Amino acid sequence: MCVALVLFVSSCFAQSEPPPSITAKAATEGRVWGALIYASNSKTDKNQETPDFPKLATRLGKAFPFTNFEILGQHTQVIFREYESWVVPSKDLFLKLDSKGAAKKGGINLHIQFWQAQQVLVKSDVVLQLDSPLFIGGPKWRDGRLIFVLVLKKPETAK
Amino acid sequence: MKTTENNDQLTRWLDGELTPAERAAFEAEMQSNPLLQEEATMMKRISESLHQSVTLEMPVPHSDFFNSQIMDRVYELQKSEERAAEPSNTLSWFSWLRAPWAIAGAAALIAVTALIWQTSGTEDRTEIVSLYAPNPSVQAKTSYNAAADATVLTLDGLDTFPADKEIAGYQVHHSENDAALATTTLYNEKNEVLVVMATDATNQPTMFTR
Repeated sequence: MCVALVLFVSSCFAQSEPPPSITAKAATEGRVWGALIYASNSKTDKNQETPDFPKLATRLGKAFPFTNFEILGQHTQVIFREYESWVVPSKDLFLKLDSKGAAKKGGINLHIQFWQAQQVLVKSDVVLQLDSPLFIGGPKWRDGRLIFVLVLKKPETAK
Repeated sequence: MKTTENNDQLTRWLDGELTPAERAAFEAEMQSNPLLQEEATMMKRISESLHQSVTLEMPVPHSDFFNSQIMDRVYELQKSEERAAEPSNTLSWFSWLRAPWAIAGAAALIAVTALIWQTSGTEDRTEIVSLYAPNPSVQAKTSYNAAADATVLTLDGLDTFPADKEIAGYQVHHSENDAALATTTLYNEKNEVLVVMATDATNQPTMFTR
């Protein structure tokens, strides 16, 4: 591993203030919201509403046979035009996105890799359209299943 | 004495289907016919007992999910029936085109079809173009769920996460990209670093956490 990377990471965690970005802001294609959801039939109501995805539990309930959908982690991420982008709502399950350029009607052509730690579960070419979510039914966990949700958001000032 | 007509009226009386006039006449007949009255009383008792012990409406588990699956199946069946009917339709189209008004009609039809095609295509929805699961025991299935208005990619055959494992979720607020080092740093709402993502020489993700 290169020394510069080690020094950079060390400085990230050592400083209370993050180090200034070395590069100018990279060009972006769009913005996505990703979330890791724990779907179960738990008697305790753990359904959560989020402004990033209205009626999340209702819509997931139509695609997966569960009644409870708990958001474990979430991440809003800009998609870089020339660099890889990561959507990491959890260190256990996350996505790597590579932009393949704009698609019709405001969509984006993406190459997606769905990772579980060091193992890639699936690679896919996807045309992601505005407000048309992609649900990925992942591994089973406890009494339910882990689901990854990815949504392309309307253009906004990049965070 | 009990007749076939009595039987029919008894059933309708039990089900509450008699008109007021029929009901009055039937109940008057019961007063004069002890056999009929005895049977009516017995049948009514059985009927009430059944209603008490049998739940006629059973809740369907995951009704939303099953309804949407049924609708998807119906949609697929309709599409396959339409496809199966296409060859015979072709013949009737050719004979229809012999009609004198065919050219004007066909032009109008083409214009309308083009308009519908432009406005109701699948271009608005997320589409999975290709898939590859490196682990051969993993089956990847894709579908469009109209009820959820979502594209669904289901991965079956994955190893189950250990039940005692805690899933560490992040609430990522924003990120920064460093092109020189090819890293992405993820921050929480307090501007604290959560994770630094990078890839190694073999393109494997490397994750640095606190």
